[in-house]
Amino acid sequence: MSPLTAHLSSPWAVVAGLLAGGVLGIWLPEAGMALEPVGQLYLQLMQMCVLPIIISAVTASIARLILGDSGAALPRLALVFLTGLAATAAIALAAGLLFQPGIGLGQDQRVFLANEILQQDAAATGQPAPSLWLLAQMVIPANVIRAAAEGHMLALLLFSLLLGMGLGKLGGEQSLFAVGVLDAFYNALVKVMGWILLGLPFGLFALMAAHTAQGGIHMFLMLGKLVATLYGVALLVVAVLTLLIARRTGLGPLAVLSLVRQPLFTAFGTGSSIATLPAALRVAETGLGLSRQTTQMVLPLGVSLYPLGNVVHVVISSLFVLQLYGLPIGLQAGLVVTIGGILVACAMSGAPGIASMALLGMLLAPFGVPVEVAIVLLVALDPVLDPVLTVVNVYGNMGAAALMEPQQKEAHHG
Amino acid sequence: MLWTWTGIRRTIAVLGLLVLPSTAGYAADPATAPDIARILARGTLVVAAYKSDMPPFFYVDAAGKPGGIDVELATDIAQRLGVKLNYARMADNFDDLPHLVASRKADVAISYLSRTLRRAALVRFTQPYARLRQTLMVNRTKTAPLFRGGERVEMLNDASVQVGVEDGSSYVDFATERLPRAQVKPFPSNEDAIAALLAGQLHAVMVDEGFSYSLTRVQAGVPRYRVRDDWALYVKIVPLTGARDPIAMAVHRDDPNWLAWLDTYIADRQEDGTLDRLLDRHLGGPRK
Repeated sequence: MSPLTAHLSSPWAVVAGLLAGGVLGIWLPEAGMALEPVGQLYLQLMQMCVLPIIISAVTASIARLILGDSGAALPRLALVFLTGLAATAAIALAAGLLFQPGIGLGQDQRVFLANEILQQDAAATGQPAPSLWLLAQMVIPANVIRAAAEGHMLALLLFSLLLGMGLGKLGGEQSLFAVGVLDAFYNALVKVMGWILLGLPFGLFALMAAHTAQGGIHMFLMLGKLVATLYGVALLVVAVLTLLIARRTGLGPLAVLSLVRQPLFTAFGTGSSIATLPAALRVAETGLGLSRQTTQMVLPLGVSLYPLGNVVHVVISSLFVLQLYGLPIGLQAGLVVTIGGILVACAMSGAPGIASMALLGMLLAPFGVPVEVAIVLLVALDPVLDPVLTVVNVYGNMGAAALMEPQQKEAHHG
Repeated sequence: MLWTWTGIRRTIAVLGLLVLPSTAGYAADPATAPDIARILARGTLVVAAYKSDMPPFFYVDAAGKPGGIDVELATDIAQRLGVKLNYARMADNFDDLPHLVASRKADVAISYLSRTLRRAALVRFTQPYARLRQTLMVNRTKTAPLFRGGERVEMLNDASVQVGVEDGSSYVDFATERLPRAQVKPFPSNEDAIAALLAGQLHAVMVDEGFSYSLTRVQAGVPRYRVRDDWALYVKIVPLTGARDPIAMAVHRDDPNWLAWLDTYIADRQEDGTLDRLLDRHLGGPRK
C-alpha cells in the first residue's frame, strides 16, 4: 500500500472530509450547493457497484449455507432479526411515552408544522392511494429486472434468497461452479469498491457540504424535543450494540468503536446503508474478525430487513402524531405502532417512495392519525435525521452479524 | 367579516376612471340598444357586490386600493363602455345580489356570484367567467378513520357526518347535492364554519377553491380571512372532482342586449387569453 492510499483509506481522512464539508456548507452555502452534483455522482457510483454485490453475496452465502447443511442458520437469522427489531421498537416506544415529544408544542411550532404539511399536501396531490396491494407488488414483482431498475430491494432480496436456496438444493458440481462464479463477481466488485472508497474523503466532503448548505437548523429548533428524543434513542441503541459486539467478539467496547468508525462515518456522511455496505463488510470481516460466510449473508440481507434506525424513526414519529392531536394511546394503538412500525421501517428501506410511508398512515388511521401528517414527519425530518439513523441501521447490521457468528465452542451444538 | 372594516366604506366609494376618447362615439350612436343606452346616458356603471372583502375576487389591499378578479373585470368593462364605475359593495349576503339587480338597484352583479337555478329564476346569468372547483376542507383527525389513507369523498356521505357551509351561499345547495345523507349546517360565514371545524364540531366545510386558495397562499397586502395560522395542522383541503362552481354575472331579466354585450365581452376575453391570465394570477398557476 503506497503512503497516499494508506492516508486516503485511514478513518481519519473520512472524518476530515466530513468535517471540512460540513464547515464549508455552513460557511459558504453556495459553494456547498455547487458541490451537490459531485456528491450525488459519487453516491451513485457506490450504489451502482453495491446492487450486484448484494445479489451475489446473498445468493452465494445462502447456497453455501444449504450445501454445507447449515440450513438451520436461516431460522436463527430470522429470530435474531425479529428480536432485534422488536427490542428496538420497544425501546423507542418507551422513550416516546416517557419524553412525550408531541405534547406542549408552542404556536410557532404548530404554524411551522402546518406550513410543512401544506407543502407536502401540494406535492402529494395526484399520487396513487397507498395500499397493502401496492406494497405486496413491490416485494413480489412480475419482473425482477424491473424491480432492480426501480430499486425495490425487498424484491431483489427475495429473488436472491430463492436463487441461493435453489442453487443449494441443486448440489453437485454445477452448483459449486455457480457459487464460484458468484464469488468471483463478489470479490471483483469488492476490489472495485476498494478503489472507489479511496475517493471517500472527497465524496463525503461534497455530500456533507451540500447537506449542511441546505440548512435544517430551523427544523432542529422547531422540533427540538422530537429530534432530541430520536437522537437520544439512536445513541442508546448504538451503546447497546457496542456492548453486544464487544461481548460477542471478545474485544473491548472502545476497541469496537475504533474499528467501526469508518463505516459509521460513511453512513453518517452518505445517509445510505447500501452505499455503506462495502465498508461495513470489510470492517466486519477484517476488523471484528467475523467469518466471510456470516458477513456475506447477514449484512446485505440486513440492509433491508433489519433497519433499526428506521424503526426508531417510525415508532417515535407515530407517537409524536398521536400526542400532537391528543389522541389516546392505549394498548391497541401501542401494538399497532410497534408492529406496524417494524413493517413500515422494512418497507421504507426496501421500497423507495412515499407508498411505504403511506402504509404507516393507513395502519394508524383508525386511531384518528391523519396519514398525510405522518408522511410529512417522515419526509420533512429525513434530512435532519438520516445521518444518525443510517448509522444505527449499519451498526445494527454489524451487531446482527456478530450475533449470527457461530461461537467456536458451540458451533457443533448450535 | 374581515379585518378591514374601514376599507369597506372606502370601496363603496366610486372608482374614478378615465373616459377614453375612442368610446365617446359609442354613446352618441342613436341605434344603441335601450338597455345599454341607459347605462351610457347615466355615465356610471353600477355594479352590485357583497359587502365584505372576499379575496381573491374583491378586496381592499393594505394600501387602500380595491383589487381582485371581479374588481379588475368591472373596471375593464366600465372602461370599454366609456363610463365611470360604481363598484357598490352593498349586499348583506350573496342571495341579496340577484334581488338588487332585479329591483334595478344595480346594472349588473359581478361579485363572486355562483350561477344556480334558484337565482336564475330571478335574474339572467351570463356565461360563467370562472369555473371554481368545489372544495372540502376536512378535519384531519375526524376524517382519518373514514378515509383510511385514501381521499374517497363518498365516505363522507353518511348521516353521522356534519358539513358546514356559509349561509345564503350557493354552497348550501352544492353540499346537499354532493352529500345528500350528511347533515348540512349553515354558518354566518365561511370563517365561522372553519372555526367550528377547527374546534372539532364538524367533519368538513364545503367552500370554493378561491377561498381555500386564499388560505394556502397568503399574498402580501391582500387581506386575510380570519382563520387561525396553524389551521393546516388540523384541516386538509380536498378538491372535489367533477362538480364545478360556475361564477357568472347577473343582469335584469329585461336587459337581453346588455346580457348579450357582457357575454360577448367574456367570450372575447376568453379568446384573447386575458381571462385565463387574470384567473391564474389570482387562483394560482395554470388551472387546467
